[in-house]
Amino acid sequence: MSDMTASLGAARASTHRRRRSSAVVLLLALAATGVLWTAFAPRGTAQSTPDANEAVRQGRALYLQGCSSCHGLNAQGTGQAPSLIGVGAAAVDFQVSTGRMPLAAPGAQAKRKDPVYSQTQIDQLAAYVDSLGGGPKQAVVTRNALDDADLAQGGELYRANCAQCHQAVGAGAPLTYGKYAPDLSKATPSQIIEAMRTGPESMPVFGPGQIDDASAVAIAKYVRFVTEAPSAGGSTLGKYGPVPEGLLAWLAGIGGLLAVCMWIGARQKV
Amino acid sequence: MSKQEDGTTGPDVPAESGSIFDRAKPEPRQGHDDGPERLGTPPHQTDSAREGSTVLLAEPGERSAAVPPAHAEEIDRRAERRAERLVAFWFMVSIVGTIGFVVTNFVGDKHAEYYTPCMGTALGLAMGGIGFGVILWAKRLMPHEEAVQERHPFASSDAEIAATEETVALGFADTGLARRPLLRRTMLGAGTVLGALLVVPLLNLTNRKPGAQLKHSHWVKGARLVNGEGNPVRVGDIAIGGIETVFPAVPVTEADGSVRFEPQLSLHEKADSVTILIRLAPGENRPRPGRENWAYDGHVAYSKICTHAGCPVSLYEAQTHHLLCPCHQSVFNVLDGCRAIFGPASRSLPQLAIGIDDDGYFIARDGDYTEPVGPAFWERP
Amino acid sequence: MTTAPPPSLVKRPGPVRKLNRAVDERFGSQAALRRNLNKVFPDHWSFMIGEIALYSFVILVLTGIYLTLFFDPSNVEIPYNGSYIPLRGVEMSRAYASTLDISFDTRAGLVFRQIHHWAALLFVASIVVHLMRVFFTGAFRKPREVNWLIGVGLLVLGILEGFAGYSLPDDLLSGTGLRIAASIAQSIPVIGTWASFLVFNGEWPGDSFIPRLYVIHILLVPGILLALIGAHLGILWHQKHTDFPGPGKTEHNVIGHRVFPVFAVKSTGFFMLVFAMLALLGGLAQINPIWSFGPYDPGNVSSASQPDWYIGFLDGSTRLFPPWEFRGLGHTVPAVFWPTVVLPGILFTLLAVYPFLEAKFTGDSRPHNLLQRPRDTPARTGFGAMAISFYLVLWISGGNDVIAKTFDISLNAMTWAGRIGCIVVPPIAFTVTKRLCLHLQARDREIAEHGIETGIIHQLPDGEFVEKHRPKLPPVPDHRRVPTDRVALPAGENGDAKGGLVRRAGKAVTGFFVEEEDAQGTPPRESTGESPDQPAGRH
Repeated sequence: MSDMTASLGAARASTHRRRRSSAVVLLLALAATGVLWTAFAPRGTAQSTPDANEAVRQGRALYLQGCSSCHGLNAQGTGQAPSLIGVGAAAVDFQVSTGRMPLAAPGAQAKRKDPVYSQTQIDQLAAYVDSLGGGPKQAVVTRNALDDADLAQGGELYRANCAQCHQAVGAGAPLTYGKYAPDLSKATPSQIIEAMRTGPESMPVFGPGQIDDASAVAIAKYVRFVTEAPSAGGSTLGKYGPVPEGLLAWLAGIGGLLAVCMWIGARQKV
Repeated sequence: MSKQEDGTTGPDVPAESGSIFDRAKPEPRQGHDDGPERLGTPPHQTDSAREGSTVLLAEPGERSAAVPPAHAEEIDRRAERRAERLVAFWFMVSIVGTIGFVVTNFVGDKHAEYYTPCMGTALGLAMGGIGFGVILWAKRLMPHEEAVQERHPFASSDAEIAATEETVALGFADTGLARRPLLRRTMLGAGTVLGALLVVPLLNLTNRKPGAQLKHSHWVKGARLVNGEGNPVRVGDIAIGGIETVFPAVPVTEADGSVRFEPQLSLHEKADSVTILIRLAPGENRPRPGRENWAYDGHVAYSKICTHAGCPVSLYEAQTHHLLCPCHQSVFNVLDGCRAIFGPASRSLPQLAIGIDDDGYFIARDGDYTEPVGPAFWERP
Repeated sequence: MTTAPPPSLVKRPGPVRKLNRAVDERFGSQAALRRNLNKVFPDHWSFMIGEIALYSFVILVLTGIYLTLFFDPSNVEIPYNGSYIPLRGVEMSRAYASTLDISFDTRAGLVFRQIHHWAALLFVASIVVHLMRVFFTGAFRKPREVNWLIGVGLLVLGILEGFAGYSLPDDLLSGTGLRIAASIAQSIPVIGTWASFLVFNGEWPGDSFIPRLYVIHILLVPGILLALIGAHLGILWHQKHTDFPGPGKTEHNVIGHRVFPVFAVKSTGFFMLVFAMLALLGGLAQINPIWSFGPYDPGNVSSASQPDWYIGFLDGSTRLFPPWEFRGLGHTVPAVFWPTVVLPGILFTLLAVYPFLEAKFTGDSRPHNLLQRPRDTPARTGFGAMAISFYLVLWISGGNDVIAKTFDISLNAMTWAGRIGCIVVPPIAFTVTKRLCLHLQARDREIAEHGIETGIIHQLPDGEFVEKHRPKLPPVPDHRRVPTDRVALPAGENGDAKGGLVRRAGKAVTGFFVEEEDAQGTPPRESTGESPDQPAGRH
């Protein structure tokens, strides 16, 4: 049982006594998410140990092999890609663990995909970039922090700061000229917090001066809740609100009832 | 069945047209004699079928050569029984649905995920069962015949029209309205004035006059910029590339001379004061002439209310410094004084001049916006 | 023999017959009852589309009554304390809190709320489809223009009613929509600010729009809708339904099923199926999950904030309209005024006056009871296609952000496509549709002249290949035809069957006032009557 599962499960258990089968599906989904983030949650504390230098060295090797062609041999940036000096370990962890880096193809925006590097490698890369100059550290989301986070506060902060781009339930939305605010259904709590702290691509930065760590965890908890919570009223229709609703009203409602009309009006052949 | 009949009866009819005549044919298998007694329903057997207007039917004899009448009736009866069982099945489905609805309603856990889908499905079965049942009943078990009804023109005869018109004319003459202009004019006048009275309840809908209200927000000189939780914002809280939605906290001087800041966070106050505070990298801002000192340390503040239709403009793209309105997709360029650069909005977002107070908190340096915020209106200059 | 001989009076009536006789003694109901039971409705599937709207309305009333029992139409702010954890402690209006309670803490609350919302979508959608059927078949022509006008009124009111309902829960989505509505009201030249202040009791958001919308939504508009639906059906009943041309069908008859039993049973069944469809949608497809949007806050917004589909075309027109705001002489006419007030004003006015325009341009002032096929009126069909294509471009643009996200298209490209599309597509639709109609007409003529292709190819002696055609056969009726009256009465006793209920009621009133004249002999009305009517009142 992962941390995530426990905390979300506890939060919901008091309201929803859910049907077992749906609970199983949910638990599996949560467990997968939880495993993903617990795998790298303890990271970020390794900086001062003797291993840290080793991690930096290996990270640099990985960097030279996979990243330097765009970001430059010393991460100073090139015409193609920005400098990585000072972006911090959080940016590396976010970009690489969400598969956005290395970039698959140039476009308006990097797309989320399966990560190319293992979490160990990501940590090494992060350690290397961190060694180039400060910046936000990798996010650490402990089980207790998630348990203690206030879901309602997370919701209020989400609506005030995130919903305008990522949509009320994290389904994502378009920005100008092909850019978009991504769907949050796959984002882990640490990725959510790292995105807030580093402001990847079009996203503004939400630093700790604005949203403290506890509030950031609350937002992450809320995002996980709205993207994973069982829907109360049947199929969510993609969570996009009135557009798919209208489409279904026309296709199923009007389409289905017109078919019924034709059946009623059809001449009976016995 | 019907195909056989066609084959036997329509030698001059091409085979592929069989379906047309299937439909056209009276339904000889309705077997109403078997069903419950219906008042006035004619027998539907072979002889009555001849009455139809179809000219391509064969003589009864020919038909009976293909299918013996007794056998046909037996088939009819079986088909009817099948249809009846089908209708009954759907009625039973409805009963099951109704029971399901009642049971789910009272026994089900209304917080469970299954609750609403089960309720809907059960209700759908309850309604749909009766629906399918009765329609099948009408289609399969009621006589297939069409009634012919005459239509009548709606127009009345000339004499009737003349009489009616004359009735009205005579009655109108009796009122004397044509002869008495004073009466006519005062009556029309009274009626018009009375009609105008309808406006009164309409105007009573509010005691608040538009006046200058739309031209001002709740920002005052020295008001602190506070976030949605009422906490004041100071330099350094927002990272470069960050945004914060802020509201005014107006200074209130207490009796002892100390100053307290009161956040204006009611819906009404938020609605015209909501402001977006953006921190740009040093040197990025290109202030408009006369607004050179409206920003502070890379921080700029603009009204968050779209100048088009009033939605909160808040999709900020940190790289392009564009603000996008999610309602109608107007785009504002933050670096260029929030000029409207795409979409239906035509005016820039109003800018709020900001500075910091002695405690380091952001304040509205000069007071309110210098122009009305939000969507335009007739009285706006 | 299709009409039964006159039956004799049952001597020992059961309770139903007793009730019938009791009613008749008081109202003289038998002739009218018999006439209406025997009333004939033509049988075509497309004539049932309007019924979807009617039944949706009934379901809206039923579910709406249930919702009013739990909904609290109040702007007063309270902290939420219901069972939806992510909103616990959040300040919200009583309206929003009670909608959450309906959704989570009321038995059958959510399913009825969802059915109500789906029914609203279906109500307007079926009105639109019904309107298209009436338009493309020419059913609006004389004598049915008044019913067309009522129908247009029902459409407009249906849209208003839907918007009012969508706005009641006071969630972030509906609040955003209402904010835009306030801006639209405010954009009207001269009276705009007053209009907005009167509606919202002050500057947006005011403190009393929920109770006001509530009264509009549950009393005012439904009352008018009910009255108009009654008039719509009453006129339909009185004027008799139109029908497509067919064997035996003329301008002077109706052929179809009698009200009792087939039509009534089928209609009952159809009502049940409409209800079943809505129940399934309401149970299985989540609609307007207000808990995910949160309470309304003027500083917050969710991307992809959309209105329900029937407002979508206005949202689209607003998105597409260029930033043309007129300023001068100390006044402003906002850009939002044109696509949200002027455009729908023009569209609905054109829609309303279309029957009169067409009659004027075609010079056709005769009454029509038989419908036209769309291909037989290429210009009208072309206009219809043009209007639909224009509407569709606006409608799609109303959801262009969701489409852009779903199909990975640039939002700006969508906007420009819509801007160009709403100008370019309608004329193309007109031309293509008109040509298609003319082509179909030509094919019809060819079939009439040369017959139907059989697919059998013959080679002529000179080597030429020809296809064999067979003549188009004359149409035949679908069913056996019988007279309307099931039971014949001897002449004289059946005499008042032709007088409508209205006319008989009118005669009763007239008779009350002009009794002496009536008694003296032959008042003009009587002399011109189509049949020797019974004197007013029953014997």
